Amino acid sequence: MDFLSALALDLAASWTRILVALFASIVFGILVGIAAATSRVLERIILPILDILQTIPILGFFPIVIFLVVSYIPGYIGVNIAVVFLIFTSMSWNIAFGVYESAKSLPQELHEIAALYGLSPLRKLLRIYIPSALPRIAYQSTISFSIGLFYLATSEIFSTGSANFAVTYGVGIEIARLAASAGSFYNYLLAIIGFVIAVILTRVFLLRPFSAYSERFSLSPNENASESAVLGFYSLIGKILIKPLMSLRPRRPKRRVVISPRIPQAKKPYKLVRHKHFAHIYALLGALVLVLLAILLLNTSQLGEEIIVLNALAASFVRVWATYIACAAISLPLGICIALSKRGFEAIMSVLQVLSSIPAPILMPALIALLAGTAFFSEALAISVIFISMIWYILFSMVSGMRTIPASIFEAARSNRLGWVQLWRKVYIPASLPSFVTGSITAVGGAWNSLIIAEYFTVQSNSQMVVLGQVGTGIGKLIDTAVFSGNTSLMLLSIISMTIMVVVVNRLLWQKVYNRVTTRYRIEV
Amino acid sequence: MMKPILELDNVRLYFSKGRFRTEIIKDVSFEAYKDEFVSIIGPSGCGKSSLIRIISGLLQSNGGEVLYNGAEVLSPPRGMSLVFQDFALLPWLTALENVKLALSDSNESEESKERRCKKMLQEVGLKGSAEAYPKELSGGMKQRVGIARALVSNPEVLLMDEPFSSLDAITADQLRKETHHLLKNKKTSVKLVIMVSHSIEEVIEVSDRIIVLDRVPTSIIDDIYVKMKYPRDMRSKQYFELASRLRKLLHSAQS
Repeated sequence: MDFLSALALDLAASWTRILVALFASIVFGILVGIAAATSRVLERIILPILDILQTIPILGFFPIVIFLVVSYIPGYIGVNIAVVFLIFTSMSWNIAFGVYESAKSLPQELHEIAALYGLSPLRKLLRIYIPSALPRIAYQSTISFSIGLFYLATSEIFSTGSANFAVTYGVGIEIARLAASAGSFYNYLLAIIGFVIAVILTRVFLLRPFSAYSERFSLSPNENASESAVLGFYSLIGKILIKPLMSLRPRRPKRRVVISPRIPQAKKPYKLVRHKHFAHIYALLGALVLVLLAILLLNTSQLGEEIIVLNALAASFVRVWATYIACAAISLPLGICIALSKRGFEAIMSVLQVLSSIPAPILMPALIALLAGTAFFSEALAISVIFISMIWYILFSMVSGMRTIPASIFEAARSNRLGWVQLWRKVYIPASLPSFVTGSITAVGGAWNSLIIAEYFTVQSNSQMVVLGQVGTGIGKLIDTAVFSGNTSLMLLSIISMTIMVVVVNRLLWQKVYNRVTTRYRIEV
Repeated sequence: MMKPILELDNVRLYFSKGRFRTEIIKDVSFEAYKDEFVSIIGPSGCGKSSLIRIISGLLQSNGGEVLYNGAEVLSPPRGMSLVFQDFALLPWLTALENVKLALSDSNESEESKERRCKKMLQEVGLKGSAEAYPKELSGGMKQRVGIARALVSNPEVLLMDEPFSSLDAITADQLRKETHHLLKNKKTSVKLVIMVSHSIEEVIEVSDRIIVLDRVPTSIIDDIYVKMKYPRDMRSKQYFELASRLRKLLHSAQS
C-alpha cells in the first residue's frame, strides 16, 4: 500500500474518532446543559462536576481510562472506545457549559410564551431550549474541535507507546512511526499537509455551515455573523434531496424562534463558576480524594513513592511555569500587535489558524530533528511542546477579546496624542489583560495535559519500544512509566496529586487573578 | 477678511472591500471661523462620524484636504480635541487619571497637571468624583469626565461626536445646557466648536450655524446661520420655522 492511501486511511480513522466524539459531546452537552439549567438539584450536582472537568488535566487520566477499558474490552474496539471517550471528555464540558448558559439566560418572555400556549416539556425542549442554544453549540463546537485535535493526536501517539494499547490506524500513529525514523521527511511533510487539509475541510464543510445555520436562531442581533457559501449549497442539495421527504415531516425546526434584542453574552472558552453554592460538593469530593490517597499510601508496597511523586510534581511545576512565563512574555505584545493590526489582519489570522490547527504532538518529529544533538535535548523538546501547546490559546483569546473593544477607546488615546510608552502602559496592556488572563488559564491547563507526551515520548519500532525523549523527572513521565510498567498505585498517586495541584492553583491563583482583572479591566460594551 | 480656523476642501471618503468600493463622502467643503458653534446634522449612516474623525485627524480622507490654521491635518493636532459618543473612558483609570491622559504630551510638572485636571473636573460639576472609576459613575457623569478631558488641554477647536445621544433625555438636556453655557461664556480656551448630531432640537438649541448633510454618498445640502438669541425660545416663530425647514431637509435626504 503506498503512503498516500495509507495516510488517507489514517486520516479517515482519526476523523471518524473526533467526529463521533464531537457528535456525542453535542448530544451530551444538550442533555446535561439543559438539565442543569432547568433543575435546581441537578444544577448543584452537574456544575461542580463540569467545573472540575474543565480544570483537571484530563489527559492525565487517559492512561487509567485506556488501562481500564482495554482490560475489559481487549483489542482495537477497547482502544478506540478509550480514545473516543478521551476526546469526548475534552470537548463535552465546553459544550455543556455553553448550553447551560444559553438556557439560563433565556429571556423571560420565552418562558411566558411557553406557559401561555401550554407547551409540553418535550415541545418546550424542542421548540425553545435547543433552537435558542444552537448558536452557542455551534460556537463551542468550533472551539471544542480545536481542543479535540490536540487530544486526538496526543492519545493516538500515546497509545502507540505500548503494544497493548496501540490503535491500528490514525494520523498520530503515522507521525509516531515517522518519528521512529521508519519514514521519510517527505512523508512526514505529506502527513502534516494532509492533516491541515483535513482540518480546513472540516471547518469549511462542517463547522462554518453549522455556525451560519445556527445564527438564524440567535436571540441577539449579530454584526459579525459568519458567512458560509457552503451552507447555501447544502440547502440547495437539501431542497433537491429532501423535498420528497418533507411531506412526511410537516414542520422543521428551521424557523426563527424569537427575535428580541438581548445583551450578547460574553463568549469565552473558559468559565469560572461561582463556587459558594457548591462548597459542600467540593468538600465532599476533596474528602473522597483524601480517603483515596490515604488508602493508596497505606497500600503502597514500596514506601517512598510519595517522595518520587512530589519530586516529579515539583519538576513539572517549574517546567510548566517557566515555559508559561516565556510564552507570556512573547505572546502578550504579539497578541496586541496582531489584534490591533489593520492591514493584513485577515491574512495574518488565516496563517495563524492553519498553523494553530497543527497540534504540538504532531510537530514532535520535526522538533526532534531540529533539536537533535543539543545539550538538554529532552528538556528542550519538552519545553517546546509545552510552549506550542500554550501559545495559541493566549493569542486567539487576546485577538478575539481585543477585537470587541470599541474603537473609540483607541481613538481617544490617539486624539490625546499619547506617546508609545503611555499608549502601551495605559491603554494597550490594560485593555488586553482580561483576554490575556482567560487565555493563560486555558493555556496552562493545556500545558499540564501535554505533559504525558512532552516529558516522555516513546514509539513502537519493529515491536520494540523506543524512547525518543524523556526528561530527568516529571509527573507526565512518571504517569507514563507507571502505566507502561503496570504500577497502578504509582499511576493513581501521580494522577491524583497532579489533579490536586492543578485544582489548588486554580482556586488560589487563577480565580483571584481572573476576578480582579475582569472587575477592573473589562470594558463593558 | 478674517482667516478661517478650519477649512475643508473637497473632502472625499470611500471604503473598499475587495473589488467593491462604497463611496461614503462625495464632497464636503466648508470653512469655519472663530467664535462659531457649528453643528453638522444628517440622516443616520450619512458619514457624520467619519467626517468628524477626518477633521480630528483620526481618519485619513481619500481626497481633498483639511486645513487647521492653514496647515494640513494628517494626525490629531495639538489644539483640537474630541468628545466621544460612548465617552471612551478607560475603565481602569480614575476620573482624574482619565482627564490627565490629555496632558500626557505636555511637559508641565505632575503637580500642576493634577491641579489643572482637578479644577477642570470641578468646572464640569464633578468636584467629589475625581477618584471614582468610570463604572461607578452614571452616564451623565461619565460624559462630564469626557468633556473635562477634552477641555483640559486648552484646545482651540472642540469636536463633539453626538456627545449627548448616549444619555437619557433629561440628563442630555441638562448637560447640553451646561456645556453650552461653559463654552459660550468664554470660560475656556475654545474658539470653535464642531458638533455632530442627529437631533433637530439639539442643534437649534446650541448652534450658530447648522450644516445639513445628504444621505450617503454625502455632500452638504444646506448651510444655515442661526440668528436667534440664546437661550432659544422653543415657542417662537423662528424656532418653529427653522425646525420645520430642517425636518423637511432631513426627510428629503432620508428618502
